[in-house]
Amino acid sequence: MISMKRSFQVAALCCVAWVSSAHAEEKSTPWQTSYALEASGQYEQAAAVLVPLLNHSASSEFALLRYGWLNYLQGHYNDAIRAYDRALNRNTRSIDARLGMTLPLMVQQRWREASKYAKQVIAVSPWNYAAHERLMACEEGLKKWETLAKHARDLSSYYPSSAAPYVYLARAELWLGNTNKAHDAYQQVLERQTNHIEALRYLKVGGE
Amino acid sequence: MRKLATLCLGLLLCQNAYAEDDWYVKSDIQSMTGQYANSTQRSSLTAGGLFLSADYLDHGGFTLGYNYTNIKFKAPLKDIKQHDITGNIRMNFRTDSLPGVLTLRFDVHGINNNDVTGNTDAVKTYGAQLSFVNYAKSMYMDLGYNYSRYQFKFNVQQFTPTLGMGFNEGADWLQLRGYLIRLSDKNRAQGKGQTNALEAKWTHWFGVNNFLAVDNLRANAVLGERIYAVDNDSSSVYNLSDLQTAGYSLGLEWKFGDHMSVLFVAGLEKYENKLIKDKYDSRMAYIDLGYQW
Repeated sequence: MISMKRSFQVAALCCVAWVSSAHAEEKSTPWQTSYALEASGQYEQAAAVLVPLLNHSASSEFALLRYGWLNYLQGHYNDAIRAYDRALNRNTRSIDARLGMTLPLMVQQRWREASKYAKQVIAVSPWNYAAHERLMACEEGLKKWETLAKHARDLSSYYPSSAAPYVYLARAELWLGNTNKAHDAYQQVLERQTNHIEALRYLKVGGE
Repeated sequence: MRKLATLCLGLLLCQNAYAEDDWYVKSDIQSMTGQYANSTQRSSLTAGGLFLSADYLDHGGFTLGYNYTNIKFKAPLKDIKQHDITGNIRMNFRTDSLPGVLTLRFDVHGINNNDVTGNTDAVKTYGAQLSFVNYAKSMYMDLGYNYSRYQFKFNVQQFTPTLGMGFNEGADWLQLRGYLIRLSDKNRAQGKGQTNALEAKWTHWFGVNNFLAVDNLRANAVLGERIYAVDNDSSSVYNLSDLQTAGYSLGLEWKFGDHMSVLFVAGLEKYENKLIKDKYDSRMAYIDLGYQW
């Protein structure tokens, strides 16, 4: 019943978005319209204009990826997961679909499933930064502090200018009771991002 | 239904090498020892158990367990040796209209012992529980129902409404659970047709810089009366037929690395057998060694 109601809503929005876009820019493509609506924060309408493309063989994969993203932005996480799953079925090699999938899964605290997709990306693209960053977030969610500390240390050697691995390293060391190591890691964070609130608060450099 | 089918298929494929990373397996070895104080009949208790729990990603999972209990009685009464085989299956659901996880869980126990009266032997319990926890892990609620069937046409129904809340930035958790127990035969239940009890559980996580490397401290109190209760959190059935009038326990848990945990609990439970006017305490110590594979 809910899905039928939602289908009607999507269909209605689709019509509204199509009509308004036709009036506003008669020659604009659904893609242009969708991007413009997304830029103005109208995620539901931005997703609705893509609905006719979802089953179109030539463009459906990309439409599904954008549809997943726009549903994620709306907080429709199950719809986003379904869209990324469909995109993945169309192209089983897709790194984009796997990385996209991790976002709604992480919001729903499905750390193990999100880890699985991040690891699949890492299997084909070993030092993909986004995949490692999301995997670290999952390891933090699962409270795997030893695993996270090792992972963050490894990642910081591949991306020495990035602050994020040091943030995760500091948190993991703190939970492992290694306060000196946590202190050092937070100092590394501040060298890379001088206004990092968490590091400032821990090191009590900036005050509040 | 689709989720149930997926889970069942997953269980069948548990050994499959491709599913290796998708299954999260945990094992627990438990042991308990206790002394009865001021009891005219009971002397001591020892118990041991093994539990195996497996979760398929974040979808749900199952637990299988076995527990052996030996209750020593004072002469001329004979000791009771009991075997409890238990299992549960749980499924997680997430909808975008609720900011958290719904879990549906089913439990079953099969208990056999050498009780010469037969009153506590051949017990079967069946339970169902629907729970919700929000993503922020600051609020929890569940509603549980258990049906226990004893020999000689005696059955017990138990309703357990539960409310849990997190506070102190997630460092503390308080859970309140009502035990509303309805008994089919007063003559089998210390003259009680029903009992009501409230169980309060407080857990404090020490977080970073934890004292003596303790991960968390647990305090537990049972107020009111309960008999033939089923505790699905600890997978235990209180099938021995005395009335519990109070219970207190204190526990400490240590975690070693990402895989190992040790839980130690010491507690005191107060019981009453109205038929023989026996009021006694059960003083127990419990240890659980957990390993996440």
